[in-house]
Amino acid sequence: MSLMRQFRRYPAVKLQEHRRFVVAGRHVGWVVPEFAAALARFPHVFHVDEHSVTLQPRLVDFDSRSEAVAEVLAQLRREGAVPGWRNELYAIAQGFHEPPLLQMERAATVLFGTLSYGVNLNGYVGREWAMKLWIARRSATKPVDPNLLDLVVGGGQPVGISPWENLMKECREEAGIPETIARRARPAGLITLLVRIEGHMRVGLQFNYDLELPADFTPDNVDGEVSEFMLLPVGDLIDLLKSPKSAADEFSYDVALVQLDFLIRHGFVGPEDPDYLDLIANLRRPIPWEKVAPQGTS
Amino acid sequence: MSLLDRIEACHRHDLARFRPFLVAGERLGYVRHDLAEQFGRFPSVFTAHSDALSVKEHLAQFDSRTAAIDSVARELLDRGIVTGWRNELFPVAVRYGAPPLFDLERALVPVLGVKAYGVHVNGYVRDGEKIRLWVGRRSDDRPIEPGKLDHLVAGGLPSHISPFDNLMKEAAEEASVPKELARRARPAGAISYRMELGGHLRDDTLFAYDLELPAEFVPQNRDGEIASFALMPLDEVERILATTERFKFNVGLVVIDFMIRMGHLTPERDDYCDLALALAKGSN
Repeated sequence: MSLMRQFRRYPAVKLQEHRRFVVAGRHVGWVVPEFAAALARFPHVFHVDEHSVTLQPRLVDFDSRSEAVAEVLAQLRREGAVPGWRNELYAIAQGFHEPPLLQMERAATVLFGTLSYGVNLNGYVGREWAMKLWIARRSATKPVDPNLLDLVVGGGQPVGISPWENLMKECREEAGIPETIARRARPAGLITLLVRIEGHMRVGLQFNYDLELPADFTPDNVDGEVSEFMLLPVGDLIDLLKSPKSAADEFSYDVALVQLDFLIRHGFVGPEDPDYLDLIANLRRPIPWEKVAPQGTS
Repeated sequence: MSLLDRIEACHRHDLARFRPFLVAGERLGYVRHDLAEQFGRFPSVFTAHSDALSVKEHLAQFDSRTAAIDSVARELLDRGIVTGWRNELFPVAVRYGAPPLFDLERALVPVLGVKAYGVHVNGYVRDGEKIRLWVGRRSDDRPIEPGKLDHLVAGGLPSHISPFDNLMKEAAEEASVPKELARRARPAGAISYRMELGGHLRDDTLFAYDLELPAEFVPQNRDGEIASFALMPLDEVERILATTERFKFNVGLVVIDFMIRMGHLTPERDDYCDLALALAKGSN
């Protein structure tokens, strides 16, 4: 099967079935329909119409917006409408380097369909076709994708910490990579995500890093999120991505795309693959924000 | 001026100035309105409607289509409407790798605005943590972008040759890279762009390759297309790209992509996401 399979594991996202989340005149999310209906119950915070969920313009700054949204989310959480609460705040803006318009609980960002960020590490040993990649199996207790295959290190990008600092922290916590080794990691670009999985809208931008690990290094999970680590030859990785032998051989959606990007950047997949240009296009689709017409002044 | 300007310059175009060029019902290019009328003067081969230029349906085979379009192209050359004949055939297909619908003289590729493909090689030398890039200066007598800075090896992709075989050929001709060295080149991605250049629409995809070279290797040009080579630290390449137009217009795309993949540019830069997404714009 073709590597394009990875982009077809979930049905294509129908953005027109979602409502634009608009803050301060900027489109910053695609709200899932059921959640928009729940937000309509809080008209002092959200104005909901058939196309948009607009944060009330009387909320003029970062603090007032964050506070008002937090109150609504606390209420909805009590009702069970915000599953998987993380106690982790994500910054909301149109792009990574723009001043955040508000911050909100991570578990809600997949309901608002806002842009979230992650850092990922491709950890490998050996060169050329003798290369092997360290991969992890997610523990059975993870809320998202339990038991699926994962990168040796990867994590969401919270507020208040740079991608590099976050990577160093995750290297320590997830794989026990000492900082002396982790510091050799190199940024290698980004990919974008747009997928809806079980009612969760994932609009993502993933910062990817490569790290050649010493041959005698073995990762060691510290935070309990990984059940095992293994070394996978690069040829086997390509086979798994094309067609897994069983459901247990499947990678998380975003992880598979990070690895596809790695395989392309390192020349393991080249122009002789008939889907080469499609693979490249799909790895970096534009962030789907639209221009918002200014509100009438009447 | 900035790195982002270099990328955005390669995406600048206004399709209102062009009309679709159709073959067998498929859009294969975009042709400027006044030129579409010139092609329309050959009604046995082309039909010029106000909203499209199409090749006559009776030209249903590769051979007949190629010959008929070539005869019109030569006529337009005689009339001075087409210039810069290259005697090199490029394949024209619905998508990369699909069987070509016809072969087209290279000079006509931008005139009809059909997709073309190229191979660009980032030839680099590692020096501890630092990376230096081999940069060529194009000869002053080149028809396109004379005197501009270029890759160690770069070239358009003609008919009947794979990107890698073309790379091997160009590496020998342009930079005297020995076969056993050139063979180490690895594909690293592809960058597409669509821009107006000289009144035509260029719709190109560049296959990027990386080639790590030993410090003692020195390139030498054989075909007269490159006047000199220099090994430049990436910092200097970045500065030249960001502040001048000394690089050939499309080389910056492949070099900025290289700087991102090699970790020379990092996510801590304010424009990191903009650069990466701008490079991907032409692919989408």
